[in-house]
Amino acid sequence: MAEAVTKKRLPIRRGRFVVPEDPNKQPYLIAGKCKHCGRVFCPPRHLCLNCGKEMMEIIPLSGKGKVYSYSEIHQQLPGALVKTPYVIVIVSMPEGCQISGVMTEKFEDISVGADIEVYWEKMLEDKDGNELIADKYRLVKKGKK
Amino acid sequence: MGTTEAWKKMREVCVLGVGLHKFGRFPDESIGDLGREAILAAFADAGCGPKDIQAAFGGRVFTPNTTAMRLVNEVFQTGILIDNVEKACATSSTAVRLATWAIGAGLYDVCLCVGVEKMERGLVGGVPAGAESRASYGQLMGLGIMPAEYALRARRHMYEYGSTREMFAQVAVKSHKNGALNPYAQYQTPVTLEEVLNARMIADPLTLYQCSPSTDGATAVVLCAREVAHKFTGRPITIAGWASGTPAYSASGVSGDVQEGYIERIAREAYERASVGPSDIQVAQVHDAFSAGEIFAIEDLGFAKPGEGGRFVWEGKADINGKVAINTDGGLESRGHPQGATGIAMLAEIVRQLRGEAGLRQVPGNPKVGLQHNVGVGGCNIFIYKK
Repeated sequence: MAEAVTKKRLPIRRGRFVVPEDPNKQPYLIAGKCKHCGRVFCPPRHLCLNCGKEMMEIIPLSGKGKVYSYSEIHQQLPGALVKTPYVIVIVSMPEGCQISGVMTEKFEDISVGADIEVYWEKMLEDKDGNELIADKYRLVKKGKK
Repeated sequence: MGTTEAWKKMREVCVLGVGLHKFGRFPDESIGDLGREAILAAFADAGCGPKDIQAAFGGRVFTPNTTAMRLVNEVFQTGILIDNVEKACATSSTAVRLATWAIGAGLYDVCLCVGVEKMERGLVGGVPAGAESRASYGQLMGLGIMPAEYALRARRHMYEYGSTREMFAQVAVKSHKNGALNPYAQYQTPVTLEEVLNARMIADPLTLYQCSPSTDGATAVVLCAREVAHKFTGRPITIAGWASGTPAYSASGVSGDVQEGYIERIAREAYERASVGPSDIQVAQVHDAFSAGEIFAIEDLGFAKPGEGGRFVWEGKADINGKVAINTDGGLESRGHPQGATGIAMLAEIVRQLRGEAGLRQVPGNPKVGLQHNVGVGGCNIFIYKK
């Protein structure tokens, strides 16, 4: 199908994760790691806040982490694509940074310290029919890879 | 910290008079109408007038450009310096700090500060319908919302220290009880613990009554050098110490204006400059934009140990007749939070309490030392006042 070839997956906003051109490859979250002192920043930034050097290397994140904190939101933010109720989670990443994102689980099932993982969801289509995707988070189910 | 010598050389600065426009929703009044009433009230309280004011500082958060000049010119136009200030929820306390510096350094004897806001209903920080193409990632995904920042830290507090929903809710019960005694407050109706807990959820564990409302209102204050205060009829209250700052980078820090760690540092500086400690504070106005914020502030300011702020409120220690009377005018939740005006409202309440003019909500025992903690996305201002 000609249409399937021309449609692409694109990040809804740049700078937080990378979407490979190859549709068979998974997108991945990115962070900046200072080549001088090793501190990790998520999302990546130009200058290191710890040592001040401009030696940031973009590294991929595993996309697996632990719940640092979470809240279920019931008041709609004007202009947001995500509709209430939804859960905001702060994820502690093993690479040494934290990231906040939207979690799609029943609120009662979430707890501080739970293992969670990123997955990818189409949020919008642009005028050319490209899929604009974003990161979301879910619990890592036991016994599931 | 600045240069210690310069700080020591500063002249003593005092609050001469305060004035408020009632907080609430006033669709038929312009920001000029709100500001005029506050400035005239401050002049009346200070016993001074336009010809005494040598410089003015002020502002608002939403569409802030040239607000201060517009407000001042509602009342007088004498050609003085008028600086516009914006620092999110800490806007008008920042105006007060600038005036305090200028007077303390001897550049001016008498300054006016003003704050005003007219707010739309609902959450702040979103984008209008149709403008999604300009929205940031956080806006599109519904992440960067203020109640969530406090709720996320509240949830972590529950996990680390065993704080409960009831403790956070009790802040709102106390706040509304105090607000009911304040004729300038937006909400003057007490609420029960059950009503707070069963109210509409906003960001779990924070319900509607635990969130500051959107508010219209204005505030003004006249500050002067202590050595000229005798020329006026106002009853001066000394600004004994003050400190301001922003969060420092830390590898483990969670971003946002409720970040842990930096308030303690600024409070320490303010206590040191005022030569007092947390146990000397009898009345405090703290930034309870959301109920959990009062509990964080109680710990950050040293009124209770880390993790014990919830219990402090639960046991009544923050009540008007408690150990430290906190948010005696209803705080941001009940008095209202017109963002650009809030900082001076906090100051005004401390001044009234230290003068013994707080009426039904007067803190007993003739309080002599009060503290103000005003936090915005752009940083924190802490002031300590003495009678």
